[in-house]
Amino acid sequence: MEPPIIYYPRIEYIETDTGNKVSRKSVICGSQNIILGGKTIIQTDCVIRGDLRRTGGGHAVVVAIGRYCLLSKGSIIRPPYKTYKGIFSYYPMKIGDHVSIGEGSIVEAATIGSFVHIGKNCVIGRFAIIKDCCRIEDNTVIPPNTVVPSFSIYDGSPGVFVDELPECVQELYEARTKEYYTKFQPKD
Amino acid sequence: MSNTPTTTIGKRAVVCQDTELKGEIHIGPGTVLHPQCKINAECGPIYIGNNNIIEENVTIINKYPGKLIIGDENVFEVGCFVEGSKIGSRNIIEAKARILGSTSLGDNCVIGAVCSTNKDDEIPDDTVIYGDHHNRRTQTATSSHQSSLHTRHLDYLREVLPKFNHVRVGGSNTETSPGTLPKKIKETSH
Repeated sequence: MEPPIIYYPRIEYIETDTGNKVSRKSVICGSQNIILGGKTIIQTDCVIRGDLRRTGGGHAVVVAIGRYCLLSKGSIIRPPYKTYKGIFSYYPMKIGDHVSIGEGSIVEAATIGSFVHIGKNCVIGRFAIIKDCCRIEDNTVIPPNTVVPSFSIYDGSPGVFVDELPECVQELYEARTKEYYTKFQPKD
Repeated sequence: MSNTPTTTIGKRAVVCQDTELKGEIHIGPGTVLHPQCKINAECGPIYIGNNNIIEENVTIINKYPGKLIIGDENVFEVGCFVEGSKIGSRNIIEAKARILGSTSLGDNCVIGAVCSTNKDDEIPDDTVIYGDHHNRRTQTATSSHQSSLHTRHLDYLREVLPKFNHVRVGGSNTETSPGTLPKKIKETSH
């Protein structure tokens, strides 16, 4: 089944040189600390907290997002925090390529691999690590510090392993995110 | 930011400019409001105590003519929804949790992620609500770890938030007013 072409009003999105499409109605705090890999879509009402950076001097990357990612409406990306050796700090978050995050999901993970699908209204706890090629179903709560292994499907609250994914998901998710990007088009 | 003259902000409190404050709201000393949170005192006033952290997309609504009193050192995590009639102290309301109706919350409670309370409930001290079916249990040992984490978290936020956001700081302390923002950013980029 082919997904339909999604049109958006041209004035709502800013398109960068590398093909990122960022909604003007999203909230990006501390944009100098955020890296977008290219061809990533950030939709309306997303919040990305690049201002919560690691304590200590120097230039810090807080949120790094790969290529062909999709942050759907109302999703929130914020780096995780903890105290380490008595010092409180937020720590950087990395998101791989071809990752789609569903509407209204909150992500406080440490790392999200490539080819990951996160459903709607999920909560990904602090310092969770999601490996490559995973699927998190809608309304799942991944508790803090969880490691989600490759090729697994997680569901429920707290999120538990429910099924395995076949080896072809890498190609599937790659094709799907690329198709979404090409079909996400401006209309006047 | 919609703002009425009835809003008061205590000393050392940090309130980001992108917040939505409606009606009579009193924000206690040391409380931190992240950008994009909504506090709506549409029917009665909201009194927020000392040293609370209110993160983004949090909604706090008072739907009753009486006061909604929130105690000290609570954490309202991303996207939680609070109606209620009274919130105690040192509670953690996790992401997407909901406190409904005229529920009153004691002290040291944890409302887990995506959990919700019943409408018009009374939740005693030390209650933990967790899991798919909003199960409840009572926590036996309250550690000092959380309170030390909380004070450090507050110190961090008071230092970092004014560097990247337009904020209002309560009391006579004017060193982090929005006017100094461009200078602050320059300092951090070196």
